[in-house]
Amino acid sequence: MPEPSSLPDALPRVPTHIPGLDLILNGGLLEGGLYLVLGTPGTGKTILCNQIAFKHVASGERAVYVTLIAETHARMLAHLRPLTFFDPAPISDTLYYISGYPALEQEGVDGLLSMLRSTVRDHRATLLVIDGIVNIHPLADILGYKRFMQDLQVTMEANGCTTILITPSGNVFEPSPEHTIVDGIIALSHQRVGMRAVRELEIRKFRGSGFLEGSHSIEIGADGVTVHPRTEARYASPPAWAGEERQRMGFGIPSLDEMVQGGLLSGSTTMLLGAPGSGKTSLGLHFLAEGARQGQPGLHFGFYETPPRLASKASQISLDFARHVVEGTIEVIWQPPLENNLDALAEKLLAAIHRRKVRRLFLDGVNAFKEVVYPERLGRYFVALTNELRALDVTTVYTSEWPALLAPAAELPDGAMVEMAENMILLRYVELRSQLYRLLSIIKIRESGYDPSIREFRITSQGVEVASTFESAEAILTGTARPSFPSSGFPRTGRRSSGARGGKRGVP
Amino acid sequence: MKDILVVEDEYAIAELVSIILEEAGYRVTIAQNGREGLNYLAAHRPALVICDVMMPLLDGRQVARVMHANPAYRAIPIVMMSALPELAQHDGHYAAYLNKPFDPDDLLEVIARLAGPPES
Repeated sequence: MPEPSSLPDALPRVPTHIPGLDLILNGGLLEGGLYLVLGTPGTGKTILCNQIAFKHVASGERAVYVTLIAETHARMLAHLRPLTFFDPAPISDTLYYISGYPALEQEGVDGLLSMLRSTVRDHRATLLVIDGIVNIHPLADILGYKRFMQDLQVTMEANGCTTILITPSGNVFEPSPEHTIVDGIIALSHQRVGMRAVRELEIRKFRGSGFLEGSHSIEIGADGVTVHPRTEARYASPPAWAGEERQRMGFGIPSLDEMVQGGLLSGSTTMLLGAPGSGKTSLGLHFLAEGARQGQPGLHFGFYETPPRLASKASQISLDFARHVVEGTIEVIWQPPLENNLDALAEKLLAAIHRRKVRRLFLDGVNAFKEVVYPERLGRYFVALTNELRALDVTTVYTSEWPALLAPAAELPDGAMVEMAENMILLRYVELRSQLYRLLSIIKIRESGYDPSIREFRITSQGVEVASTFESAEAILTGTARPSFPSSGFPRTGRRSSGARGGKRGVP
Repeated sequence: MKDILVVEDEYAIAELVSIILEEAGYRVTIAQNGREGLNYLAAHRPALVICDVMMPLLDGRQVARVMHANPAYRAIPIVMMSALPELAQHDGHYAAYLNKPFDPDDLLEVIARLAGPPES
């Protein structure tokens, strides 16, 4: 039996034009359907439905917004006015605000229904929003209310008018007539998780259509409501990789590229694991710069280093990063590691990748992803994200912090960050004769051979340099290196210049 | 005592206008949509009509057009009110415009100017 989402639509769709929501709804609401938007006060119901109405008329359609003892239209429109979707031009023309309460009060539910029918017909509305449907309850018995809902459904369907009812009820499991009669339920919620406020949307019911199940985060900002479909649900079934034959994506560092047989395989995901200051970012910058040199669009998506600091860091190692940024070969997207929305981050990242057909991605500071509301999602999230990146043939290099500066044991961190890595390069410090040295070792490379030997590397004014050998570091992964190095691949002329920070000698 | 007809579908607004005008000494009748308003005019001659723009059944602009087209109603001044200042474009069918929410003093000033004091 086919998945619901793969079934052809029996009815035309009415897009909500809410970013992200139509994707969750498989294209939008079904024409002529009756939908319930519910949530406790302050969850964004009124903004959501007004936004749908404004966008509906902006697309050339007509809409009527009916209130039943809610805030006055003047107050509601004043609250909406600062939002970018607000446009006074269609109001009273193709977008009509009226109160349904006089009809309800004077003539009961029959009077209200009659008024709605004639208003929708007179205005040729294809969208009707009724705000405050709960106010019918005191004026109708259960049977009368059910009949009203059924009559409304039949009437609006006959008029080809999609109807949205807004109710403040927060409990969808309450046995309420509208819950059983409506074609779909969109539930909004607002809660605190720790110190953070979290807004979410869930489709609880959607007759005749598949949809992305579960909770999805929403944000309310200057553009109104934005829905962020849960990444792992959105990319649950990534398309098969459609790239051409896989290429080698080098770092532009000869010894390192030699260790990985010319470069990382395109479409792969590589973790640069290391202690703070061990050279992860410098290596990533090399990766992007080498791509830029070959004309491959690159993206630096980072959390901790601001773009100016990044440019400065690159120039210190003779990488012409700033020029690549100016020329558009490399794009830098920076966001502070604060209260980021996991799914918004994925959207931003993938949008940037699609926009410039990015081939190389450097995800700098992936630990920032851990500062999210639901850390238990991270495993599934990264699997979905990396699957999508692989399908787009994006070669990803990301950095992950290894908290131990000089750990006695080379123990890998647990969790999602490691699971998503097909390749892993470890950057470590080793203390030798009271000085720190940087060591690089390849832990794994999936689908390709590699040189597993440990190498010393240096960050010099000429860039990152990786030694051709490092025989003295045989015990590096246990943190017990001995001070006996017959040949490191670097000439050693003095202790001062061979340190982790100060060495400026090149690879022989 | 002068009669004022308030044609407004929003209950709270109609009530507010009614209270302000009655306290000032006017007699107020509320119609909850344009059709109700025209029905009232068929049998009464208020000193002034205050009319919302967006209403069910018959909207404020339609009411104003009907009144303007009928010599029996043409002399009755209309004050249009709306939640949007953008709707205030004057089409010659109403005498004044009030933006909601309005200042009660502004409302009374407009009414007094167009309909005269309550007892005159």
